[in-house]
Amino acid sequence: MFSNDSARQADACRFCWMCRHICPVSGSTGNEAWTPRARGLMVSMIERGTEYDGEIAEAMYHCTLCDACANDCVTGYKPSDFIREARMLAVVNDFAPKAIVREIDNILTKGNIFGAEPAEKFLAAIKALPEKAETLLFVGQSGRTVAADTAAAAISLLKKAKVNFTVLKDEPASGAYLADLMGLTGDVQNVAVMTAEAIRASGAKKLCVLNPADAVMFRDNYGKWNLLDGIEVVTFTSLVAGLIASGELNVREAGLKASLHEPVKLTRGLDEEKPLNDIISALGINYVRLFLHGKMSRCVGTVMMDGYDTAVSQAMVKTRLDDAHRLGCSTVLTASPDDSYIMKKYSSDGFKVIDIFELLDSNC
Amino acid sequence: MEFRGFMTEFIRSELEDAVGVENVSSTKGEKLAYGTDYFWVSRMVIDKGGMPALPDLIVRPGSSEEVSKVLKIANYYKIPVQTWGGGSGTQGGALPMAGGILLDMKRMDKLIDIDTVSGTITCETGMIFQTLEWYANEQGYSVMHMPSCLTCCTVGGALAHNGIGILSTKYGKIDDQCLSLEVVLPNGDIINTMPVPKHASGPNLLNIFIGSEGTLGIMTKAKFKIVKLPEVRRHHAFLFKDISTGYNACREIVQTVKPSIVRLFDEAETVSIIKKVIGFEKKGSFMNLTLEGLKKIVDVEEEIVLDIAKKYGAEYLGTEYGEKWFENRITFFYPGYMMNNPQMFGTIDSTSTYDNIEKIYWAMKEAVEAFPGVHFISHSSHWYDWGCMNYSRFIVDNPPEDPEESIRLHNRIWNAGVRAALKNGGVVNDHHGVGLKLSRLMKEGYGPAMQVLTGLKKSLDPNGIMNPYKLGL
Repeated sequence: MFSNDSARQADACRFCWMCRHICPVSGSTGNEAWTPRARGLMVSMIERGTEYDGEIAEAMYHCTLCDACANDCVTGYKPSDFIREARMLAVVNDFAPKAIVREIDNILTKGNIFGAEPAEKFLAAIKALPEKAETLLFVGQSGRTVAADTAAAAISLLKKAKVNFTVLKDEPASGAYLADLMGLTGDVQNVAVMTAEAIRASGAKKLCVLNPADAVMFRDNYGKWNLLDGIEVVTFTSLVAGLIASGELNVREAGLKASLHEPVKLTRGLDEEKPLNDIISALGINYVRLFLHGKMSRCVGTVMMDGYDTAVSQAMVKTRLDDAHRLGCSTVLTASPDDSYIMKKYSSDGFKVIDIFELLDSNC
Repeated sequence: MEFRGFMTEFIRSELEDAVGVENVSSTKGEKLAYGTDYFWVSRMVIDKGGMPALPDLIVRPGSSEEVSKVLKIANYYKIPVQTWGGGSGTQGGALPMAGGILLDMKRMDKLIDIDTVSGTITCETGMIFQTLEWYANEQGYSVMHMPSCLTCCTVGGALAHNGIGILSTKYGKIDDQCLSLEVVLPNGDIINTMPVPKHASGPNLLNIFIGSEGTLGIMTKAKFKIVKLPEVRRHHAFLFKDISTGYNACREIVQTVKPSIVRLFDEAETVSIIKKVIGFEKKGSFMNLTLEGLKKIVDVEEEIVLDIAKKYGAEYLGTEYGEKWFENRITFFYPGYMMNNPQMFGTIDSTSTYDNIEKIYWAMKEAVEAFPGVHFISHSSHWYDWGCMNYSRFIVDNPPEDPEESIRLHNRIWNAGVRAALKNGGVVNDHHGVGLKLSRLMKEGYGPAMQVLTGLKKSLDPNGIMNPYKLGL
């Protein structure tokens, strides 16, 4: 049922417990079935005759695909490979959880996982932008809808730095969420092809990506499929860090004691810790470094997980806030629209969650 | 758990009422996750496409009070309760062989207190041990319990089988490190051991529950001592001409100074696993040793260790291999480095006083190698003033295809290895526990003294619901 590569990796992981301590889902919930080891065991047993059904698929979707496990492993095995394949099989064979099917339908029919219309704040922010520009800011699904404050701050910062940029009014999905929901299927590649056409049609030479999850998709898969040849792809974080370094953005010190929750797609997926640290320095933050930081940053959840199992999302945010609390810090900065949305949604009394780009915008 | 008609749903409702609906489960995916721990037999059965023993219900309590409620329900209906921490044990101790309830403790993972005045840390026992260590590290301290399963075992799991870590020679075994416990008895009563481990107030209750493997109650909170992170940690390596010389040198070292790590490998393990993981290629008996603490003291200890090693003709290998071993201390257990299916393997670890340790090594080697096609390797990695342990492994590259035949051979090798230890002053097990794997050998190991344990069992768990078939109880 599974590819040889997935079966081989699952066979390695099924009796290995070594990454349990850094799995954010099983760590926050204590559920044994939601560990990489357990999913490896399930795939391995399916390969040996156990029927793959909706009850096993539930465990396959209780993973954020954050790759903490693979990053910590000395062997090079990557559980997210066989988990994505398990998801593809669940979707293709029609036993994926209902909430997952709804999220896929939302992306395919409404252009975003939430099934939401673009936020008024976002539409207002892009109103006066030119149709074509040298740089295209790719806002992403959450920035256009549930995390519009972050998107508006990003747009404001580029305006302040006088960057020649625009945003696609009808920005299509990158396919990043879709690939997490159903694996890298032909449908996902078709979405990517259409999105790449829209990007190329904007005439931009540089694609600046606000959401690190989209940036990973552009780098890993659009690159593999040669869809964005000739267009430079940069994260918004590194672009802004560059604008600060070159003096195009003048930053005032924020006078704030805070910890930073580093987006796992940025630090682990793209190896971009330095630009974030540069922004923190520029803001003069009295910085409390969280344990499990940098490449080992602990995922706080994904918008996909939030739509699938709200309680798990909530538990993951609580775990991260507990990390800050233990170190005597009540303010946590976020640096991606997804993290900003999820952490603000489930932040509890006594904690303040601030998006770093919103903070930067109010201090430039 | 065999009940007629809709009785099962009524019991489930009671359990859901006790711990919350979302914390009781019986989905196929979740049941499968508890079908195997690190025990070779359960792994082999799955590898061959068999279905392991699965629980009927998975229950995840969030507090001691919830554990108490679950045990009262289980006792009333006489349902087996198997407690699961990390599931990383090698002895089948957590396997739900009797079906019924699988009590997964990992929701109980709260840090309760760090007291830097007394030097203690207190937590719930479902916490992953690495997390406890991280919390201590954040304050500049360490629990100094570092088993190979540090990242995957829970605090409760380590206590349940009376585990040990690589730094034990200086900092002790977990029963030296744990100061007090909260325990839920099988009848649901929540009790505490004495607030401190040293007293003259009767036998120490701590040592009744540590190592009891979920057969006498469920440990729910634990207090440990912590120590300041060492100023220096220095690694060294040596090569002895043979293991016999190595035993004598290491004994003299640990009876003179206090290294944190002393690992002496026999000739067979030196040319196999040590070569594979840290790239050391010479023949002989490899030993790595670590000294740590205040620099001034370590400087002196280092001088003494080098002198003793020289006296026994050891070749000093410098610091590189000791550092490499420390860096790779967990690598040994990853897929591709550790033995794996279809190989059959087992770690027969035993402890004894120094006058017996070499006798056990040779007797166990002879007993195990008497089986055709069986290799034997061994090292000694936990040392006391009075003796040390043998961490001996048997490996069968081509075990029988038939699972039942394979299990029988597996058990025969284990019987021979453990009996060789028992006959020469050793014990059933040093630090992996007994579980299902060695349950049958407990009566041989204890002799008439076993009645003390069975008496406790009958008194505390008259319905026999707690982890059936384990620990010989």
